[in-house]
Amino acid sequence: MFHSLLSNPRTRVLQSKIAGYPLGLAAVAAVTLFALAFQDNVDPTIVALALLVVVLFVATGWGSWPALLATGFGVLSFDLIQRRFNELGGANGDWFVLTALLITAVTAGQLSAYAKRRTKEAVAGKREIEQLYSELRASFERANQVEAAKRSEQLETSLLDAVTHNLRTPLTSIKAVATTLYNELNHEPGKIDVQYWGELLEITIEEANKLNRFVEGLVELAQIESGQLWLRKRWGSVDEIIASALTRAEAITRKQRFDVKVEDNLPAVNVDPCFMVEVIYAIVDNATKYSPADTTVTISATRAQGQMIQIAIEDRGRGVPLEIRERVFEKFYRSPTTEAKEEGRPTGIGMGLAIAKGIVEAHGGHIRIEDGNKGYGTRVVFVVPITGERMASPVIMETNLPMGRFD
Amino acid sequence: MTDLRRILVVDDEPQIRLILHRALAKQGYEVVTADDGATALETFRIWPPDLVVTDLSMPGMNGLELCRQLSAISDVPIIVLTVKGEEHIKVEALDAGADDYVTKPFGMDELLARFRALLRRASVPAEHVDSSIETGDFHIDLDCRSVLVGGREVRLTPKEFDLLVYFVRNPAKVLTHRALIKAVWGGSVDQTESLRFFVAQLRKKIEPEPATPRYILTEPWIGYRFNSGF
Repeated sequence: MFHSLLSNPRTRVLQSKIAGYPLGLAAVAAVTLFALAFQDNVDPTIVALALLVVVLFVATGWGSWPALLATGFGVLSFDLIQRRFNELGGANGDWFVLTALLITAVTAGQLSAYAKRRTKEAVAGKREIEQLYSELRASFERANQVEAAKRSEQLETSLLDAVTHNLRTPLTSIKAVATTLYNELNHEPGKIDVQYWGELLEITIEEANKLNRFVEGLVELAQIESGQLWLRKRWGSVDEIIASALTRAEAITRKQRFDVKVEDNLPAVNVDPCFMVEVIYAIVDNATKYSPADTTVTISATRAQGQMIQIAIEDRGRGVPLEIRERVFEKFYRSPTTEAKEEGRPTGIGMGLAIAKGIVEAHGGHIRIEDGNKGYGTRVVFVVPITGERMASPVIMETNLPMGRFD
Repeated sequence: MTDLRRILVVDDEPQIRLILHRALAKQGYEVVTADDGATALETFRIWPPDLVVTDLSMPGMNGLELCRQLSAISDVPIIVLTVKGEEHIKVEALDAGADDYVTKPFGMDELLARFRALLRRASVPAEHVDSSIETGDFHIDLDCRSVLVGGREVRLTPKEFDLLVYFVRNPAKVLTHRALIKAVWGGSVDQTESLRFFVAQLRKKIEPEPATPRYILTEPWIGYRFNSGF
């Protein structure tokens, strides 16, 4: 609006300072002519007030100097009118009017100039702030890019570490067993210690399975990352999904108690049940690894706002520090503390939660970590749309989800 | 052999501990395992082994630190288990007191061969008070500074002689460039090139086929290993 007014040529002429002089003179002349024309009905005080209004108008519009000119002209014309009226006597009235007009002209002119200056300053200030803001944003973006580059470098290193560790360890076991047994065959052919062979071969099979799980995880992550996760959605109940996840997790859930709370009349969901089971399995697996024996892991399913189902898995373990809550979902990320390892508990390979996140997001959902009950333990919460359709882009989804809703 | 040779296995991966335990026990060794350096040191004090085999990367006290601490209190042969890509740490471990290394994934025959070589070396009396050393194909007279290889006399320069004596006294183990330079030149490092030169000269004189050495074996990027021809 402001800009369009300024760019209009007519308003620009009116706004120029010089325009104030002729306009002021014209206005005073108009008042004088009007007064002379209707001298019988017009009181000189009214004329004085009219002149005052003119001066005030000129002063606010064009500043003190045009107003002073209008004042001078106004005094002359008022003198002329007075003489014509011949009622108000002497020059005293003139001087009074002159003084009043002068004061008005200067004060109003100054005030108006001050106001204009302030406006200009404010506009300039606003521009400066905008510029600062954009510079700041640019530098933030640069910092983010540097951070992202650093992150991706870290990711590459951790990828290499994870791959070397998770592939080489089982491979080392397998090769050690194979060479051991091969040597046995060479040295004492025909003499097989069945128990010894059985024991070593059992380790080999377990290690081969571990290798296989790792490779499967890599493939799944690759599919998620390239957006090629093929979801076979079916309508199914949340209870069934949770139950089959717990069945699958049977071997790892013996140390803790499991408490499942599913809200009554929860609608069926249209999801890929195998993948959903995998999400719950991955979270449960984590919960059992990082929480003490004989504690309770709670799995709850509730209806959430916006046609969503919310599933939360809460343990009574050590919890996840705020600063790594996003990072635990990165592939191959493992918490810097090696507590689990020191305590002789199995450690993960840093893929479960990354895969879980990929699956939930492929369903148009969202996953995050929160404090457990009373700030103790870990609570992994994910929501998926009941229809299984992507509601919007994940970014918009995130801002639409009120943060306090899960508290 | 009257009593069993004792081997301490240190690795943080339970499966590898288990496999080594079973396979070594089957070979007639007495085996105790530990899952990190600190536990290994404790075990070492109450159950002194004849040989230690340790992984390098472990939580808590790692293999490198374990090598340092063990070599400070004992002469027990140490074999480190490394992975490709850990060359730097491997050399550090060898300098810190490890005697040999095996790269994961390893063949059990390879590991057992290293065990035998180091245990045999350890069973030979450590220092020779007399004026001659006799080992494998080598007969060295320390007073006359004369050397017989397979009964054939070879003439060596003083430096070549010192180098050979150091090799002969440290058979089977991997000797890093740094360790050799320190032993023969007395500390000043950055003489890898002269070391290479002296090794080449020594090989020309003692090896039947210097191009395919059988006594002084090269450990690429790391150093050399001496094999007396037992």
